[in-house]
Amino acid sequence: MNNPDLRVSIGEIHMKNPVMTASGTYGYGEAYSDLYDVNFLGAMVVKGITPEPRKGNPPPRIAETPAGILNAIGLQNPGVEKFILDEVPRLMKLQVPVIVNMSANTIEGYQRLARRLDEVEGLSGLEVNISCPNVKQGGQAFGTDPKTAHEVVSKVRKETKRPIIAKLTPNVTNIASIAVSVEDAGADAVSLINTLLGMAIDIKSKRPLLGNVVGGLSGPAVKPVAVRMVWETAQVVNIPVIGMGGITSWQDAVEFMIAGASAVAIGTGNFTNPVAAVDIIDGICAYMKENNMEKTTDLVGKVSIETIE
Amino acid sequence: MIFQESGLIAANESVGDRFYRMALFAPRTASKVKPGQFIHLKCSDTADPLLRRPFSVYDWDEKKKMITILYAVVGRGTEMMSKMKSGEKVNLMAPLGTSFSIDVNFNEALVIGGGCGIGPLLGLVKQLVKKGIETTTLLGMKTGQTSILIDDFLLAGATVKVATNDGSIGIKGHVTEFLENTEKKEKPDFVYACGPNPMLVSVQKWARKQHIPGEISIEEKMGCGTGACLSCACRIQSQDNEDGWDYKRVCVEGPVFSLEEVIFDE
Ligand SMILES: Cc1cc2nc3c(=O)[nH]c(=O)nc-3n(C[C@H](O)[C@H](O)[C@H](O)COP(=O)(O)OP(=O)(O)OC[C@H]3O[C@@H](n4cnc5c(N)ncnc54)[C@H](O)[C@@H]3O)c2cc1C
Ligand SMILES: Cc1cc2nc3c(=O)[nH]c(=O)nc-3n(C[C@H](O)[C@H](O)[C@H](O)COP(=O)(O)O)c2cc1C
Ligand code: FES
Repeated sequence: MNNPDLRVSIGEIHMKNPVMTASGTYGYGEAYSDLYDVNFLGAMVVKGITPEPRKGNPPPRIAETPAGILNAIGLQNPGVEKFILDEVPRLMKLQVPVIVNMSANTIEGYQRLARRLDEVEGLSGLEVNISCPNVKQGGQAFGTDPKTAHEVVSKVRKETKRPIIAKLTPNVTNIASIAVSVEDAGADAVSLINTLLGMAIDIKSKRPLLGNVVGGLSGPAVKPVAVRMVWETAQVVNIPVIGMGGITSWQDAVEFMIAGASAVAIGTGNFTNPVAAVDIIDGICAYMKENNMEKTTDLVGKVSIETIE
Repeated sequence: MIFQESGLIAANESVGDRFYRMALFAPRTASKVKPGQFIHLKCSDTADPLLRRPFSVYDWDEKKKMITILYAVVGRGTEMMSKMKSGEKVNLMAPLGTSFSIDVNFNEALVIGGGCGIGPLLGLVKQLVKKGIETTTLLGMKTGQTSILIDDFLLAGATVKVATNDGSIGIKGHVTEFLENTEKKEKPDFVYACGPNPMLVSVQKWARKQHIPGEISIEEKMGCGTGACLSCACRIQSQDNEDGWDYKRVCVEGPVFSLEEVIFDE
């Protein structure tokens, strides 16, 4: 049998395969290019950008927890102008779609970012982060209410022709309702999950392990929560769902796809295995071949659930 | 150029107190590493503990294709490492971070290490001695149980002075007490240091007062170890903004920084 066709399209973002990197775990792509050809990726999502530079949170910014990590980076980034000047020229040369993750404290800030990034050539899409738990105002606040989520995405929609991915927070009771709302506002896809708000304390010093006191949980520990949310969301939206949260192996990626993810993103998994993304692409390909699947749609959303009377 | 390598454990021996020396057959790392650089080691094949652990390269031998790390058992990861046997393999990423400057032109170096901070110093001392630089090493340890480490530095050709918390070897007290008693004429041209932050703060203050330049290696909790996640931020002086400082990454812009530029929270 021929190799399966791994291509996936998210709006106008055409990817060779369904594997992308998760924002904030891959920098601007430079770190991993020593280890493999990043052009193998389906897409690269770069670290969150804000309108103005941000210094980020005081250390410690990371704490290991059972099968996971808590992070509170605080969206450290050089600001959109310096990003365009220093990073985009190198990103433009890549043969891989580059998606810019963006956050702001105000709706006006999101609009400004979208307008500015729309002028820049060589970027394939915008991931609108309405889910960052690590900055005081904004971020997650926009993503926990279907109305404000709708407002952010529809305002961004007016500023850009580029595909928009709305990145959703799991820190809500009904993630599917937020997804429906951003689809209506014009999002081309949703990505989920961002990190789950958490906390860890050193029992000797009685101090929190993070400088920011609380932070976002990611890694294998969150995977079942993420799979459930992908499954719930995929049933109610007609746009592609990008699944992430604790993926470290091709088996994890396939599980997300069966739950309904058209594509997957690797975050924390990059830290333990720096070539995780390529291993996972190979694994998905082999799995599909073995199961006589020709295209990814043979796999996506194919969870088999017997209805209980 | 960062790479992954599967290191074959050749020895993993207790050197007293909570300290171990692990020797690894790791040809690529041994041929590329520079003094002060670190490796990021996976101490389990499972998801728990999840993250890699950073360790400075204590010593290496390009011909024998070996590297050595000196580590203290302080938590789960290092506990697991201490149980590893020769013949087992560990995955590591290397060579990471900045290195100590050895392309230098001076006569006398002072190398100061406290506890785990002795970790990046043996290879450095060897290189300095090889260049004909008179090298004095001040070692601060909890007890004399780790005296075997003193031999490592003596064999490397350094003059060694030791301070222990319990006074079982050398002077009783902190290694920085040697600094206060250093006479004007003994002033080194350059100082290298690694150790707990209070020790580094004392070294920084002393070097400033004496107008001695130097470099220090610092630690911060890490995620990726390659510059991608911004977990390992530390405060470094910077002219680029009005506050006069910026967060820099210990894994890329460090772990070795110039002594002057590191801002410690006291
Ligand atoms: C650049 C660099 C070089 C280092 N070189 C050495 C060395 O040569 N010898 C040595 O004994 N130790 C060294 N350390 C410290 C060493 O990384 C930690 O002692 C080790 O990670 C502890 O792991 P654990 O699982 O035993 O501890 P746990 O406390 O269970 O670890 C929990 C988490 O905190 C992190 N962590 C705990 N302590 C430290 C620390 N001091 N610095 C950074 N992260 C920490 C761990 O990596 C892990 O992610 C170095 C650290 C850095 C940043
Ligand atoms: C260190 C770190 C930094 C992150 N930074 C961002 C960010 O800037 N923007 C964003 O939308 N998500 C950010 N995330 C969330 C990830 O993109 C991802 O949604 C989450 O970690 C779950 O996936 P994982 O378990 O595979 O890591 C960050 C995660 C980590 C661990
Ligand atoms: S540990 Fe990820 S940037 Fe330093």
